[in-house]
Amino acid sequence: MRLRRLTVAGFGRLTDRTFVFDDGLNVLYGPNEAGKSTIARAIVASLYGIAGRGQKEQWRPWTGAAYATTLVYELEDGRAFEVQRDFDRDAKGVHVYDRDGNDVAAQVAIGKAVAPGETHLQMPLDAFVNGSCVLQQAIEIDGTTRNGAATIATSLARALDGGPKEDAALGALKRLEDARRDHVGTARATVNNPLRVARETLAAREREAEAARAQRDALAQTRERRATAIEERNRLAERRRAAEAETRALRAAELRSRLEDLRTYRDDLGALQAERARYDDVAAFPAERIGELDAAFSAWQIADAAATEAAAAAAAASMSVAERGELAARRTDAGTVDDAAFAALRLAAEAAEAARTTATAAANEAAAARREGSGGRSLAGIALVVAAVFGVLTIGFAIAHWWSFTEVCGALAAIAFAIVAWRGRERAERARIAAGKQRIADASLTAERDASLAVVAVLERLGVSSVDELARRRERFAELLERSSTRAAETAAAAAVDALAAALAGDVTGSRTERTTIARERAQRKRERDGIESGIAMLEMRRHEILRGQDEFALIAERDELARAGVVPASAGSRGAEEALGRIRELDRLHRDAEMAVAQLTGELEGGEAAVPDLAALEEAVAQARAEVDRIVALDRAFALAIGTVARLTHEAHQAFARRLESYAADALGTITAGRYREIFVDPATLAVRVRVPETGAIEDLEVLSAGTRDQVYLLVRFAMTRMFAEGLELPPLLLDDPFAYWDAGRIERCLPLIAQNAFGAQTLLFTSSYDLAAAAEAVGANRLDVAGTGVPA
Amino acid sequence: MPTTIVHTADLHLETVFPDVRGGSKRRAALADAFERIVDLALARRADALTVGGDLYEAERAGPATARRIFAAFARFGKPVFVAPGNHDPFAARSLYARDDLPPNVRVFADADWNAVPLGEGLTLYGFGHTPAEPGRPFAHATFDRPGIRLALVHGSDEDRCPPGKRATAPFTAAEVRAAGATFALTGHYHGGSIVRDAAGPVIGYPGSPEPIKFGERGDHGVLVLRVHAAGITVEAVPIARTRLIDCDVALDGASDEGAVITRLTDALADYGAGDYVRAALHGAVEPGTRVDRALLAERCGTGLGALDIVDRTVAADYDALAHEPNVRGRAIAELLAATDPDAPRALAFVASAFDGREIVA
Repeated sequence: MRLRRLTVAGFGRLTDRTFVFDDGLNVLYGPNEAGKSTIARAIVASLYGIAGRGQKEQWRPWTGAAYATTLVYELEDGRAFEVQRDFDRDAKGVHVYDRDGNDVAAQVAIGKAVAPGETHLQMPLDAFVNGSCVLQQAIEIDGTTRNGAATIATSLARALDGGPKEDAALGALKRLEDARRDHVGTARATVNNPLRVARETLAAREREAEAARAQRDALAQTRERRATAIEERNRLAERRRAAEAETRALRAAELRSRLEDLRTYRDDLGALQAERARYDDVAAFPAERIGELDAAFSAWQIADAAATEAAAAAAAASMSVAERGELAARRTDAGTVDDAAFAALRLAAEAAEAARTTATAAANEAAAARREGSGGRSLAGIALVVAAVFGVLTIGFAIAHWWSFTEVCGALAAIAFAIVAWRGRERAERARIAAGKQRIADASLTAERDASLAVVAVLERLGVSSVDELARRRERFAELLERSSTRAAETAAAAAVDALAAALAGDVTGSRTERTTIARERAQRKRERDGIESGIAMLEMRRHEILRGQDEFALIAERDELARAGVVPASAGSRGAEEALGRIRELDRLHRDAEMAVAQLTGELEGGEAAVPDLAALEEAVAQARAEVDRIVALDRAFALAIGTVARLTHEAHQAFARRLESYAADALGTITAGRYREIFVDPATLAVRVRVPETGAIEDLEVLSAGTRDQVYLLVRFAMTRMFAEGLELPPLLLDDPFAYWDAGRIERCLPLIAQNAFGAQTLLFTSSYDLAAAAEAVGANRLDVAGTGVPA
Repeated sequence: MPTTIVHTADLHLETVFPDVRGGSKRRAALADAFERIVDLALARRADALTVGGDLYEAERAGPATARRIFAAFARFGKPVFVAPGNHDPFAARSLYARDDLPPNVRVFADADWNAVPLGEGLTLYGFGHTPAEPGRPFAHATFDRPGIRLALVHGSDEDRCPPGKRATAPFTAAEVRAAGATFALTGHYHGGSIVRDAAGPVIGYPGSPEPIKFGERGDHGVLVLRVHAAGITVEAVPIARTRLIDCDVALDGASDEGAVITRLTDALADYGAGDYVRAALHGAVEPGTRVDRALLAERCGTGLGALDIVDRTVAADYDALAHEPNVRGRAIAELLAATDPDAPRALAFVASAFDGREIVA
């Protein structure tokens, strides 16, 4: 692109000015505040427009003239365009005319913006401004800033990376990383970690839903158990109903049986009552007395036999007179002593005899004891004499001081005294024993005397000499008495028989035997009648057993009711009914248990079912939590994709750009630095520019260079950037707004030829307030334009 | 005396709505619709109520669901016939197997046809789903009882299967006729429809009483079937009180969040509390314009059943940026051309990051 003419109706401090440019180097000279930078801005604004209200107001004409410019340029392919802009009308105020006068603004519009610069240079505003323009002395020393201007690395980055931000791709990457950290979190972050929080929330929601599901399933199991319990209960109820039906059938059978038994009872009763009527004649016969009659009759028969026998004996040997006298005598003695008195008497006689024997024995023993005691008196006397003799001798010998004899005699005297003492004690003991025996003998004699006195008293009263005599008399008395009482007994027995016979068979005449026989017959009939009565009584008991306290009519009513209910009597008997009732009781128990189980499970169900959480809401919460996790994971993927893409493309672009920039700049670097520096290096990551220092051979940051040298290097980089961006495209013009303010004359002298030779093929507009520079540029062939219009220095 | 049958299906009680807000309200709306169906059956003096499956969703149904359903059936009082569907198949633990099922409810528990005479010359054949795949219910069916033969089944009319809908127990109208059925009372498709052939109505889907998912076409109500001597008549009666609405909102040129809210509010002006709206925002907004979905849903969804926002706006002229001979241009061009599903979002992130704007996730 070659700029041909710029006409400014009004732009900043410029009003109604026209500048005509040549190919190659154009130097626009003017003092400070003459409007050089304004021209550069007007060119950029003509090509790209002004974005943003602030920028637009910044360049509004100071004089109130029309806010408009006209820029004419040509392209490498020969096309020429005239861009007319009325900045107050924005896009509507833009016209782009081609060489034929056609307004082609629509063809160069990008979106709503009309930017012929971008269309024809195929370079966005950022790239153009950062690559082709050095505005406001903005060639920068890397790592430092001057007047707030952008660094060359920043400019490079903005040109290479794009975007309005000065940190460009690296800044974008940082913002992406920051956003990823904010919206997703990092693996290590514990505070701000949305993904972890979302996953924890999801896990918690899943646990809640799983717990609710388990609760519901448990309730389902409980319901199944309850259904089983209900089934069991119903089965038991059914069995009970069957057992009850069986019981009713058995009850019907039982009723039928009992009523039949009642009928049989009635038949049997009638038969017995008829039989009993045959014995009504003995109904009142006191049969219980027949035994008494029998006994009396037997006794009479025995007495009669005995009397008969006695009569016979009496006849053969009737009692003599002596015997009658003796009987009278015996009646007065032996007959007065009954058996008990006689036994006592005999015992008393025996006791007296025993006492006498004891007394005799004790007396004998006492005499013996006394004899033994007197038997040792001589020995004791001898010993006493001996003891006395030896005692005297002892005293004598002692007086004579015959001590040996004294001791011997003393010892013998002691022995003799000991014997005397021993015999004395023995005699006393025997005397005590003899006294005891004597007391026993005395007591026995006393007892014997008392018993003998008692016996004698009785015997004397009876006139009997001894107890044996009395015994013999008693036996005789008994014999005589028996012989005298036999007939009387027979008479008494006969009377008794007659009395009983009169009572039992008073209507019968005849002998005692005949009457007794008839009485016995009556008694037999009475017993037979009693047997019938017993049978009747048994029947009554059977009736009670049949009715069991119930009324027969009640039984009949119950039977009829069962029959009406269609109950068919069972064939089993009452035993079956009992078993069935037992089964019913067992079934009732089981049924109660089953009912309790059902009630318990029902209670569990009702309590549990009322507390089941809303599973749908919980699952929805799970789904929402999962969606949140998925959303954040998707965000993470998107961030990763964005970051990866930008990082990779940035690296590739910077890498390629750095190597090519080094290549482009290397040749010219030697020229403008008078051969001092020949190697230039660009860091692909930071786009920082470094050079090899010949003195040390090291690659150093530009900080080690002088300010002027750094500017030279960066100017070179600018040129190279412009050339690179324009490869294969339209080469943009270079706008250098007073870039050499800090350069010395020698440096400018070395750079100007490079610029003037148009080393990179670009039209160059060099704005300067330095007259020397303007003159030097003019000297190397530059087209000089005086911005202030004077053309000469003040 | 004609016989009146009210037919419903696909209530999907206890279903979840993870794709839209207001799930609880929508479940309540479904339960309320069920009550209205019983009200309608009582008002129309229906002789029977038939349910063509998917009355509830077994995965989440519980005791409360059973109480609600059984109470409604008991309130109806007259015979209820249920043909379980693929979401509520008959199984040992299904609600239909509970011992407190009202006595007026008959559940077709077998994956085979069972006949129930409903009156002289009218027979209802029922086919139930079990957890096993049911196959083609009409393939070998023969309905030979005299008079009108109604078939109650949950299945898919293959000739009219909505896009993306899974077919279950498939059949065709021809199969229905060939089996001898006069009319098939069915369920499965949430959009109601009545299929007719030369002989008259042959298949009836009542549709879900309330819409379940976005994009369902057709009616949402019940079918009222009148069987008389001359044949049958079928009437579709709407029941739904809610709507699921997809709404496109163009935000071209919107330069700030206020403008976005204004346009969205304008777009939603005609909708009310029964409407569950999914608003898709699209168009090119000015760079830096904040489009916060959660904030918009909160600000603009207050008068609606629920509001979900789908953000498809672009905050930059990506095509223009893609032509830039720099990293941003190349990155945007590459992401524009990428088939990765995350690329559009990554594209927006890249544009915002280079512009230095807040990256709204």
